Amino acid sequence: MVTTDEKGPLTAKKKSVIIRSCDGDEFLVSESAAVLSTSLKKILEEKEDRLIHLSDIDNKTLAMVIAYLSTHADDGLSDDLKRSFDQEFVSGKEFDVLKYLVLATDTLQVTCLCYTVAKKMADIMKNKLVEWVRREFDIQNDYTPEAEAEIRRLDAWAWDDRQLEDD
Amino acid sequence: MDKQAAKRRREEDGSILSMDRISELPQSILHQILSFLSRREAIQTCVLSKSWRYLGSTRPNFEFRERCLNADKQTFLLSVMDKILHRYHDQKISVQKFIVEIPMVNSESISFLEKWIPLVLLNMGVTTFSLKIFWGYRPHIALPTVVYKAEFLKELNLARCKLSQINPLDQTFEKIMSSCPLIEYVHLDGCEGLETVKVNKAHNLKGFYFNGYYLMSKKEDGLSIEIDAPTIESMSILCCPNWFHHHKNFPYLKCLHLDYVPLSTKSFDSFSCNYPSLEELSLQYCHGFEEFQLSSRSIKHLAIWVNRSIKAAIGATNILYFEFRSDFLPSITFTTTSSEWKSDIHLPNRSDIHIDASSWFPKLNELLKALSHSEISLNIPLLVVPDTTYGGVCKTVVVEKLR
Repeated sequence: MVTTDEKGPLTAKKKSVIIRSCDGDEFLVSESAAVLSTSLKKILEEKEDRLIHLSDIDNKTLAMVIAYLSTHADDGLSDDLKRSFDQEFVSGKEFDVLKYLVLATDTLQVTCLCYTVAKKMADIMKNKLVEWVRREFDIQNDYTPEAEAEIRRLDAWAWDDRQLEDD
Repeated sequence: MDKQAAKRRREEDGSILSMDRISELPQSILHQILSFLSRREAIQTCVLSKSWRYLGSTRPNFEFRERCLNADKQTFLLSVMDKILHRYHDQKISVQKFIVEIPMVNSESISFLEKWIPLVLLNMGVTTFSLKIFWGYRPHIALPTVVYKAEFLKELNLARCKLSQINPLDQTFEKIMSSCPLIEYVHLDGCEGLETVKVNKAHNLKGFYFNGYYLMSKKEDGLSIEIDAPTIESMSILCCPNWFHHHKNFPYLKCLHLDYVPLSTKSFDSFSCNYPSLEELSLQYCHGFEEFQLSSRSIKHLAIWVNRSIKAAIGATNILYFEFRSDFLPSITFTTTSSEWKSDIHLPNRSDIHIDASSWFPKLNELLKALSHSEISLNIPLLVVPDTTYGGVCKTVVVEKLR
């Protein structure tokens, strides 16, 4: 009885999973890190196979997600250290990198990383003019000038500068 | 990396469809991003392009937070929000957070709220419900009884609201807890109908905040709290004359803040023995004790504010920060094995308290000696020494980083 109790968590810890990106590269991940992703957890519960192929996540993005999962699965790190890791993880990353990250976290269902990345993306958009956002993100304005003016008129309060204290 | 080059690289990869840099993200992700923007900024994204037309106005959080508004402006903005909420309802868009914080309640806002509350709690299944009224000492709005049917609720924040009463009175809170089994956070600030908070085994409760300040004048003795929550992690109780906590175990309680709550020497035994995870303890103007013994291995932050002289024996093995504020010098012994910790001492900040220098300074010396293993910051903003040496003038003394 005692030996199984001791062995149980030990072997579980050592278990690992191979995750293959859409580029074909394979990553060896501990099971404790992999199950932080709800999708991976479900896959592992359903099949014996220890190889998971992710057809819509590229190498670079997958490597980042795995680094995140491994850090968060590390019991030796305090919550504070994990929080500062999260901050550093998203800081200085280009918007495109964040975009593929957020898509990957959505597929893999890693809620807390999705939250962190989405917040970072919002920070980039914060306090920017509509024109800046369009230019920065290559958004094609497909409204006619009249239609755009009409929308601005409908929600006029949102464009009223006297309400700047709003948040 | 050059943006165009990055885009080209993605296109050449062929594995990922090229998209404009943001618009083609799934709606759920765009909503998540927009939820971090203010309501104004989110609404402004409607003009970016046609695919953004309704994104900003259909975020899963329905938030209205305003502190300074006149009545007309408030009514106008609430009518805007009313249209938005109906759009949510008609298009079956889920609302996870319902947050309304307004300066005042008048007949217009009551009629909006009476319409909205059942809609979001029952039909839309919100998980966070927050209703705060900033102005006025008296609660003005009576919450409809649907609060007792909100089974998806995880977080409930109420400030200056009135709850429809349930008989007997002390079962109102219990009723909320049993109707909303998922509830994790409860924040109650001056809510009539919830003067008595009593709950047996709140199984998911992690955070609890209670402020009885606005209710004190009316029913001081009626205010009481008795919570048995084995999972609770943080608790703040302000202005409550009755807190029943003896013989209750809070194995996961990390953070406890008590303000104007009577305590006994027995309470300190509870802090020492029944709260093994307690890391932050803050006691502000708590009364009912002259002397206490506190011994905890878990406490890292300890703050004590008192307005009388006390005697304390503190044992805090792993202390990092100790704060003490009082008009009177305490008599404290402090034992710890912590090698690096700070203490922050604030002594008289009232000019009407006169001290006897001949006994005061030796006592201060004792205090500093007790804390001598910490990095001490000593603040004495208004020290009045009625002594001929200083001619009776006020002298501000601030000594930092004594060692």
